[in-house]
Amino acid sequence: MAKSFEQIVERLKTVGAPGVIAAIDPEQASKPDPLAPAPPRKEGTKGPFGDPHLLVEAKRVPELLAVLRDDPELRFEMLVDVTGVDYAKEAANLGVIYALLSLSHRTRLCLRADVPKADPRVPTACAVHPGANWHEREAGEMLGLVFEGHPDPRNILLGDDWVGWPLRKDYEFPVEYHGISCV
Amino acid sequence: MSDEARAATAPPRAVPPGAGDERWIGELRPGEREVLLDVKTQDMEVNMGPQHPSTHGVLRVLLRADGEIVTGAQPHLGYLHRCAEKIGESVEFLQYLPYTDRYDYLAAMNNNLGYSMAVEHVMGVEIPERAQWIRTIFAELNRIGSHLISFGTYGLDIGAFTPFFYAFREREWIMALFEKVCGARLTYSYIRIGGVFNDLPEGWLEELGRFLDVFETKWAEYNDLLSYNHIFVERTKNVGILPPEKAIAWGCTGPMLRGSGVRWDLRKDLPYAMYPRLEFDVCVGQGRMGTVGDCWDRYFVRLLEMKESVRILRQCLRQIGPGPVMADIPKTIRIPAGAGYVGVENPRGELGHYIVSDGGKIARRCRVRGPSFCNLSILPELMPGTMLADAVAIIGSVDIVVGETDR
Repeated sequence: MAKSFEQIVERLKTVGAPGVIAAIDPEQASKPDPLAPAPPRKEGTKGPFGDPHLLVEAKRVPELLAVLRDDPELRFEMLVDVTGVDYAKEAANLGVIYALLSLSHRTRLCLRADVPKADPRVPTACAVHPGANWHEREAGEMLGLVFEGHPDPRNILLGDDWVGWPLRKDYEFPVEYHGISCV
Repeated sequence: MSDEARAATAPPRAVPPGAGDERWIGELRPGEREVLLDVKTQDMEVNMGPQHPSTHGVLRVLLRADGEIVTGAQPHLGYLHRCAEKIGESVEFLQYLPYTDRYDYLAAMNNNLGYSMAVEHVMGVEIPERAQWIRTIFAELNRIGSHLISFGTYGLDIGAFTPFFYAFREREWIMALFEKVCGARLTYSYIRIGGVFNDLPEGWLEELGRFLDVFETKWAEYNDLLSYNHIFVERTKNVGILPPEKAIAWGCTGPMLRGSGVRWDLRKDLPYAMYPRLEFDVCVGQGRMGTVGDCWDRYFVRLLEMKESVRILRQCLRQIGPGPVMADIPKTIRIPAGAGYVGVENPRGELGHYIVSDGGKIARRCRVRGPSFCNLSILPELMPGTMLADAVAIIGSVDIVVGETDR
């Protein structure tokens, strides 16, 4: 049966899942620093809307994904999406987002792992979910994330010689590419 | 000569690079063994595309072949990359909507719906009931249109010309129905954030009813034309078999997943819009012609889904009532800070949008998870061990739209 986010967090605590830092609400999940104390909400405002996320340690993501996949109460068999987010130009971290889906329990879950922009390394999830392969290649070329241990870390949508990471907020558009003017 | 004698005299089979990797060798089917033993072979690399008609767009697949047998396949994408996600974080929420039309251009209504639902999810807005009914109608009608193309072009890939023309005849009527509502035939931008752009014109629902009556008789014709055609069945059964565990592990969705016998449909399992109030079956592959998860199963799931869509549309026609078609939202949409993922069942699988908003008019991140992209990523796994001519059958059965793989 469908599990609520609270039930999932509770279950992860019970089994002692590796690498879980905190459960964060959708508003915190949109901030560069998810654990910073949020300003008090205005009276009468509804929300926040969206999905609560699980903030996790980047280094232990594959272990955690394996637990989430194999635990009979959780069974997140499908890794639907892996992507990265650059929250702000001045932010120190990049977020890596994992969207999981449990077919057995009809439940979704979003994970967020923060990695420093100076050293954006995160272990690959390909060993646990082979479907992560292309998503990680895309996140790698678009945001400069480095998925350690990835079987095929080439660019996928961009050319092999593309300079820069287009989805970083400090990206500067090229003026020309192989003699083709871009302005 | 007996098999053993052949094996003793034949030169060893050329081992592709990455030797020892079982993936490249695959299982042999009856007849292939003889081919292997008779011919002195050398690996050859063949570029399929970027202008190959059966890749349905500008996709290039680098095939490695040992004679007639494929030993490896590597898709190269990006020819149609149009920076959708970068644009998504550069323009306002509503301004981005027309760009969603352009990723899976055969199912633009479903894309509009997926994006609008994702924005509404982070915005926390309620959609009026009539708008929900209209959305459901258009999502299903576009599903029929999209599956018609898939059905027609798949026949074309395999060598059957006629079904293509039949499919386009019925699709033309669907296009005309869309045109009456929003003036566009391919890129609609009709389903908007908060509801739909405008109400249905007078007599539109009656015309939809007439279309459904006609379409049902035509559906039987398609089935007669192609499904049980001997050549078609021989080309597709037992080809490109995708076991269910693998389909799940690789993130395959939609008819790819259901063709492998997994009963999973977001419309049923994580329902949205008006689907909780509709009755329909989830069609899955049953291995009627060969093995569960082969190309024929994937093809047949799409065909059956068209019929289910007709069933859904008939129920919509009975239940839709009057009311507003747009929620009360401001012209310039500002979304409170938040993040969320929403997936909807597109004709090709789960279309996901991950939206991050910082409280302004422009998204901070607008991630698109295209079903074609994920379904295509399993191609290097499906191809090795098949005959070269099967490559076309397999790519066709994955049913990709390159606009979506590349975005």
